[in-house]
Amino acid sequence: VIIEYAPQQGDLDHIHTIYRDPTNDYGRNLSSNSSWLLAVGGWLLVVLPTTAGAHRLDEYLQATRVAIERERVDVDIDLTAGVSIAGQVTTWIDVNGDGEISQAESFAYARRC
Amino acid sequence: VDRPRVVAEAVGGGGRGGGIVFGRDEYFIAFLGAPSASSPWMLQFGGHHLAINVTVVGSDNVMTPSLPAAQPARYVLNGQTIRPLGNENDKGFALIAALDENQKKQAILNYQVRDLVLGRATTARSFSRGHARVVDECETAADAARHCAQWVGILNDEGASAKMAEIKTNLPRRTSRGVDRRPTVSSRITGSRDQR
Repeated sequence: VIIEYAPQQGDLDHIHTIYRDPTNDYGRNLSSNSSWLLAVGGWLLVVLPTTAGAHRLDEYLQATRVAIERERVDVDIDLTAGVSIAGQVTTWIDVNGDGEISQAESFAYARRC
Repeated sequence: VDRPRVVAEAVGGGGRGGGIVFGRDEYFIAFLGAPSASSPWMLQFGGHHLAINVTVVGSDNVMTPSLPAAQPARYVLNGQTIRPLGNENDKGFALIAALDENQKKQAILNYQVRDLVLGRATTARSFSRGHARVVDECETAADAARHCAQWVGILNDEGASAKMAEIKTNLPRRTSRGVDRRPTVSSRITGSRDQR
């Protein structure tokens, strides 16, 4: 059994932990049904990148969703700044440095993105 | 089970679930395979900062790998301070406090690790460095077990009891021939401003 407890540094309360038993992940020792393990493994390869992920402190995380319909395509972009670079990202948006993001500043940043 | 039957239902306001942004709409419950008393199946509860994977085969179940995490780790709701991982934090520091000075020299690293070492997309089975084996006294072993129980206890009582019995059996312990240091239980604990 491996347990990690990793409080993230910075002003925010932000903790990652993980509980693993590498010899028995997904119950590999419990089941002799290989088709089950293969099938579940395929699903988990798809799911784990999102479910087991917690954003890193020094990355600017982008998540883009594309919805394709008959006559239109909607694109939503979520941008989440890690705490280590949040100040830098703020300066990109709040260009006049008054501590507030105006509508004009937000539109300008959205257009640049 | 011929093929996993996936039934996913968003919990909350009907969001798509499984996203990487915050909010209750992003959390989901999924069943892989049909719940059965004998055939394998799996329950997932996940979202941002949470991935609980429980595999069930008959009366046995395991909860590995799972990722309980929190942000914020302390907040006030209805006048009460909530610490989602407070017990995990406190039991960890209780374990460190139970060590003698020599054990603390082994256990407390002189550098910081910013994030999980064995998180997602890793297959390593142990920490490559800085892993101090410090559990060799009965009282310390009890503290280590209490620390582990914070995670194992997420399972139902039957599953958690079985796993805790296994963990207690495999904790390094002092024997008549010396210290049995089989490193079958590992925990890396880094400093936190939540320390008390």
